[in-house]
Amino acid sequence: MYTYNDYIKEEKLPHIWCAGCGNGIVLNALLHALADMQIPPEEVVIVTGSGCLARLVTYPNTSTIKMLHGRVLAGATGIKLANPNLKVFCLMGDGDGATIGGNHLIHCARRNIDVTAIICNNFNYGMTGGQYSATTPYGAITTTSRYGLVEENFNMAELVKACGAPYVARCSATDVLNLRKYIIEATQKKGFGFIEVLSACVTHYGKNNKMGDAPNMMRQIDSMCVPAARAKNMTEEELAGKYITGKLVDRNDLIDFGTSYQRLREEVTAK
Amino acid sequence: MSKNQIVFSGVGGQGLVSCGKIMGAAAIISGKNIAMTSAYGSEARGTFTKSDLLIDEKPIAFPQVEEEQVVMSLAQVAYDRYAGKMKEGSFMVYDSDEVKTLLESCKASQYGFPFTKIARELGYVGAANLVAAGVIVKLTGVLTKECMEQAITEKYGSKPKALDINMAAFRTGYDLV
Amino acid sequence: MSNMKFMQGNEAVARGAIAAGARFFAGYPITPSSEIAEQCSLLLPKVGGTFIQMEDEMASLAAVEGASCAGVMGFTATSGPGFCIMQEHIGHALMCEIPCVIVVVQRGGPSTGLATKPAQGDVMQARWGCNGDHSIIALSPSSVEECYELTAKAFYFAEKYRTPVIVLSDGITGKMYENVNLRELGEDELPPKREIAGDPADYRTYNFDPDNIPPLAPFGTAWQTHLSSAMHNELGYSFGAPENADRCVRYLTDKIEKHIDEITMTRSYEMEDADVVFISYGCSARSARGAVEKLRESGVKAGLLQLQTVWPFPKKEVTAALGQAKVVAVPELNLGQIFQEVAACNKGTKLISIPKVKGELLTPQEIIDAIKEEM
Repeated sequence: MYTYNDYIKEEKLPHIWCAGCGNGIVLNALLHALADMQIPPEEVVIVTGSGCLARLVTYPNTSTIKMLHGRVLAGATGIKLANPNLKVFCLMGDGDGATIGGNHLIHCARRNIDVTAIICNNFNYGMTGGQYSATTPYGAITTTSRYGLVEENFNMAELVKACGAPYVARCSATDVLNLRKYIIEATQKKGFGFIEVLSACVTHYGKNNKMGDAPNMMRQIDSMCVPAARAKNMTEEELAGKYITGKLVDRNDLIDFGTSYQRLREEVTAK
Repeated sequence: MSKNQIVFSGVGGQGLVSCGKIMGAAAIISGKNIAMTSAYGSEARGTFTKSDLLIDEKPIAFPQVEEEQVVMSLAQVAYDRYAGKMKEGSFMVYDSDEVKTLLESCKASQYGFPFTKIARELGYVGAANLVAAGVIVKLTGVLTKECMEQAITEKYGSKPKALDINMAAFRTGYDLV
Repeated sequence: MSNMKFMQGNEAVARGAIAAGARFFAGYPITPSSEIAEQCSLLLPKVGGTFIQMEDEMASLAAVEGASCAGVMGFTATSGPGFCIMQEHIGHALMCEIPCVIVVVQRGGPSTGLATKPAQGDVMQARWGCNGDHSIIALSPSSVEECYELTAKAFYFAEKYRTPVIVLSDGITGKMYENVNLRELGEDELPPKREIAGDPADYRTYNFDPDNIPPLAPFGTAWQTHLSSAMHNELGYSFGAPENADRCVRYLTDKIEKHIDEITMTRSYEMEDADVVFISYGCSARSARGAVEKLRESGVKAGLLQLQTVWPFPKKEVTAALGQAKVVAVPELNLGQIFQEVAACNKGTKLISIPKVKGELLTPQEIIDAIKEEM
């Protein structure tokens, strides 16, 4: 019987993240989910890239690898295909996962690689000082959009859904219990499981856009969230600037790459 | 002049490389060393292409033809490229269906046969390369007929129809000279 | 046992990798390397391995690194422009100490250059392409036989020294067909297995001792690993102290350079009494062999020192060749990338660079013409 304590290196705490940051919540939810699923720690690999969330590798009591910035899912693809018994968790920020790594995100979803991908979207590059990313909303102030951003942002959950991922969920970092549930479901789904977590960067994004202190900022992010069931009855205008949350995709009709490839192996060796 | 520096030339898609691969396999059967290098462009079909084939008892130092001792030309553009620079004692083997304008001052001994027509009559126009290979093997003596037949059998052994046609193509070529 | 085949160099690379035990290939198509990927897609599933065509070269090498960390030896293949894209990951593999093999079938550059024509312009990119100080192993085959042998050897070095190894092929050697013996490798030629023993609590991903490199424990075993390309401590956690940075960088260089004698592989042709010596590698070594044959026929005591190991640079062997010769010439399909290294070893021997960047092989005659005046 594994408990939460089997998955965390307590001696490494306290963590390095700013007060009010969602990264600690994501780490906590992930490790609780691992305990819930009773996955032996040695079967877990946690893959990160660069950025604030990438520093997460310090805390879990599992094997970890920091890939290069953006290459989290590409590295994870190799890990999972080489040893399908491993449970591979890819933790990325919006810079890592949706911006520099956007190409790998769409291809990993399209190929349906059996890994769990969590993008913690805090709407900017925190570690490098608050520059804009591919998820920064139009008009937002960042250190590289001082007059307001003139680019549109990705709707990551919709993007990954369009690429054919069998599991997509989105929630706010404050929605801890659902986050934990989504991580479990995404992991148990055979194929690409994707979760977007909306998170507060109080130090940069919050400050630049006058969103107040941590509790205030979290409340504002929560107010942008609309549960999928409620969103159904809302107009496009009402949904502008909102994030539809909940379990958005849950399909069982898709075959993941590893399974398809194993079939191919069996076919060619039988010949 | 020795006859172990051979050029297969033509346009892309004529099976020059696969012809070279069969001769290469035959060279291995006879315990010889062989090297083949090809010049190619980014187009897959229709432009000039050539393969250099060297067959020797000793290891091959430089893997390209330095002196065109034997040239197979399956297209006019290929013939034109080599006919003028070949020396006394060398062989130019060309497809008379494709090469219509000959160079009168060509110093090589010239052997023209309707490889394409022969191959078409055998049932597969793509076997013209093996008809030509038959001529070259007979003329040069770099490989034995038996080794070539064994190599053709190994390549097409699982496809009886292809084996028949390609073997017939080679033997027909071999008997042309 | 002899298993002689008439085969293309690129295919022999794939066969050599598989013979060495590689079971993973991730790559992105590029001329003139694509046959390696094509062969892997054909061969790997039959031996229980995996082939995947990734979205770009970064993803390709990242996936290879991932497979290696999970305990499956992997490789990728590319050419100049793709090699540029991979450089960041070569640095990552160097720093994380992840064994992997990168095959580069060189073509005319810079940039798109001459896609279908051979070159040897990536010698320095192989040495210094990624950022920061480091040492690297690069092997350069000059025949189809060596495509097979040196690719297998690359995996041996990759596992033994826990490092990326580059196979520097070229558009001639990769596309050329020759006879090759697809022999079975002996037990001692196979890459060392990652044997890890002891209490998992005592395992350290790194130890910074060039003579005692810990094997990389595969993910999924009891031995926990933490891989990071940031300056790190023994456990693999980020550690940016100045003394630690100094230790990391010097170690990455030392672990290769201290074993240069074992890594260096050269071949000598007619060198015993040679006073006209060519030093060359890859396809240009074949041009030089042709020149040696011709010069010997005309009574000149010519010889060739072929560098199968290009990096680390075989200083000892090159210095000896410079010492015995009256004239040394370095033919290569670039403007003197290895010539500069030879020059750095030279103490007064007449030394000639024979560069060519026309996208075609040097001919033996061109080499002879280039040294004629010096003889």
